[in-house]
Amino acid sequence: MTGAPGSVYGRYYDGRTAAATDIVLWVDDYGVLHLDPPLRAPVPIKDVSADTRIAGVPLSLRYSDDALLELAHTARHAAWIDRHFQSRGCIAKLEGSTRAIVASVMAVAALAGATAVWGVPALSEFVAGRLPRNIAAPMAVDTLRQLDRYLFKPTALGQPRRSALAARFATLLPPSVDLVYRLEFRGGGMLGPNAIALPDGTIVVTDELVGIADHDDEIAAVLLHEIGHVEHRHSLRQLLSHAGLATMAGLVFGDVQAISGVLLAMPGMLMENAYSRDLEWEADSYALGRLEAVGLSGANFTTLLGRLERCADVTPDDKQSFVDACRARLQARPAAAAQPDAASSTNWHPYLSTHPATDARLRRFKAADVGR
Amino acid sequence: MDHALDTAPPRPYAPAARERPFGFSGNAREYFRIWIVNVLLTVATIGIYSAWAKVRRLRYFYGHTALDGHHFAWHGEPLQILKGRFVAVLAFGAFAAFWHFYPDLRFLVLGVGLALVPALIVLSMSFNLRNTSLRNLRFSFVRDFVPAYRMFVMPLAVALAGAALLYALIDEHGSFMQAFRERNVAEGDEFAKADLIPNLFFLLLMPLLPYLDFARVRLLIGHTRYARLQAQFSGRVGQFNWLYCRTFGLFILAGLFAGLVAAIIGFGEDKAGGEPGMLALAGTIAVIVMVFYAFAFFVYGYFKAQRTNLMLAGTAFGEHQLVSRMAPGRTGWLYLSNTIAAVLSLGLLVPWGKIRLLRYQFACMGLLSQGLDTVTAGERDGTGALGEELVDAFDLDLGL
Repeated sequence: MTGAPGSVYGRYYDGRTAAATDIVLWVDDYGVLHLDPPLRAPVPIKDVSADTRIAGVPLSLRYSDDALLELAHTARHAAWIDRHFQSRGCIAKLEGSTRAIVASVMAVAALAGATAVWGVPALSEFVAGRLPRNIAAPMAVDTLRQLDRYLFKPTALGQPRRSALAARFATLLPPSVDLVYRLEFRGGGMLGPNAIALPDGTIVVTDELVGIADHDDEIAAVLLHEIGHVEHRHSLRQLLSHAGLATMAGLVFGDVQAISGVLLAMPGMLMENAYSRDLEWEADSYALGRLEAVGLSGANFTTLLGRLERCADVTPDDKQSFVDACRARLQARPAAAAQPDAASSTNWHPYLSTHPATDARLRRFKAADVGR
Repeated sequence: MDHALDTAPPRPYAPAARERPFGFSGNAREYFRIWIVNVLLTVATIGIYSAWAKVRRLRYFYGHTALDGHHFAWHGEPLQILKGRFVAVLAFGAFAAFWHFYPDLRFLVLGVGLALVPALIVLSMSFNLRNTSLRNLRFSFVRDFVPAYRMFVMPLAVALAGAALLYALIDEHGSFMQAFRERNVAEGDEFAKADLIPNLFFLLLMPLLPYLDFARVRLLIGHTRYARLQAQFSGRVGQFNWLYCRTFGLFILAGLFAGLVAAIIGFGEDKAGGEPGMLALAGTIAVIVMVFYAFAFFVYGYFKAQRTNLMLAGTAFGEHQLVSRMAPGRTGWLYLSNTIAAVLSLGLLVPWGKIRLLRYQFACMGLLSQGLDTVTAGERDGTGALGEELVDAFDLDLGL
């Protein structure tokens, strides 16, 4: 029987012992599957099922009692199974077609790119907008606690100065407020001149920022920008985008060994910096939109931002506080002289930075003043 | 057809025990196709397809793995995986939400999560093994939760008791607390002695990690069955302790070497003169990190290879003894080159790396045995995919 036309070689495992038997199998004209040696009675082919196919994996036919017929994965065997058994497997066809594979690579690249650039931020904006506002309150409290513990120092500003700024802050708040805004003062420590918006409406200004401002209007402009962060729920959005990116990376790189994760985190970091720049830009837009309503001009924002940029590499030491050092620098080097320095640092800087290039931000606020 | 009678010939002599090779026949071309289609359909279906993707991936890997010419097979059901995955995603979301939004409850959330780990490990192993077959006989895992918990509780209790003892020994106003306070300067925060407890606990847990690893391996292998064959693990805890010590030493060496390289580069710049700008400093740091990383891959490879060898050499299914001879250097090189390739190719070479690693791993493996022909089937039952999917979602490394 071994040479019969239409017969194929296979291996029989009965499912009760590990022993394997090499066999010849064929299907007769009545649709009945025969084995030689006849280890079991012939059965109609409808009582035998074929597994979905995977490249190179042995083809298998399974009896209803779980006995298994295994055939080497060759074109001839695959055709033989197709002739006699119902075979499912549109996925296998997709995997087998080179054209489909090339299209898949391009589609994955396009999908991944689009998801990272638009999908993740859009989705996190959508979700953040629908979460209750107070959900982030405990997180904000904890963040401030950590900052106080590791970075911030107590403020050195006097009570009258703080009250004045707080009063000014109250005039900047948006007309309809659904959370309690609060202005806090801290010594910046390593953060230097800075302002931070927490999702519960707490905005922290450092003494250094207050110190290098010539006028309260300048501080007010920065506060507007920070209120923009809160109003647009940027903290939540950042958290959600981070989770979204991590999920995406997990889908694509799921197979990579854990240690590589650190290196693969780099593109993710660059992407998150890009999101952060978008959020800064949005907070700027918010501030721009509200400048007129609260009686400020774009120049208030640009002068302070310009001063910050020129003091970017000033580090305070024991002899001189940051504010004194910065003021000395500004006196010694007027705005024009600082230009080449700024230009050289902006070439690579934008991709690594969490903030948009200062030039672009300044131009926008100047344009707003011209347009008025 | 009279030779049908010969299917179970009498065997006067048992076949000699010899090493029967494992082999992996997958190739990067085939797997790349499966992988890219998986990724595409998973992304396009917002993750739903990932359950089917997992089945295809694992069926490819298992179906291409052979022992002595007989292929393994994987039988997981996509719908079962999808269900488990759905619950796992919900659980993970809840965990992350609590973690971020209720920082005060972190210890509670972490505690609940940790308390579930042993049960999850058992369920995950059970799901995976029950869906694995060789020669049409299934593997299985004895679902025994008590030893899984005992194994975790013991080291934790030892560390906690040690921490309590040290806590009692430290003088609230002594020089140690003084030094601790100075290292952790914080405004308005007075460090009490009680703040030390978590630090002491983790400090004492560290030297117990090799034991924990050993206990886990012993538990997982000791409860594994192939058909009627029960696996035993004969490795000793001393081997794990010694391996962790060597690995730790190598990491220190890697750090020292990276520092040395940086020092040489640093001196070079001094001679050249000129101001060491921020860029030069960043460059030096980058060099240190890169050198350290390159070494870390080899140390990691060393650890992985030795641990795999240790684990498999200690594993026997009855008289059938596993063998593994992974070479540390070769393994480290595979990890390093795979990562470089994955990064430079933006992920396209991930499948290639996976295949390379598996090919090597199985080429190093064998089973010292007279043959498995006489093994008979054990009883069958099922385990849901939830445990396995939770283990996946929380990225718990079973290390097997």
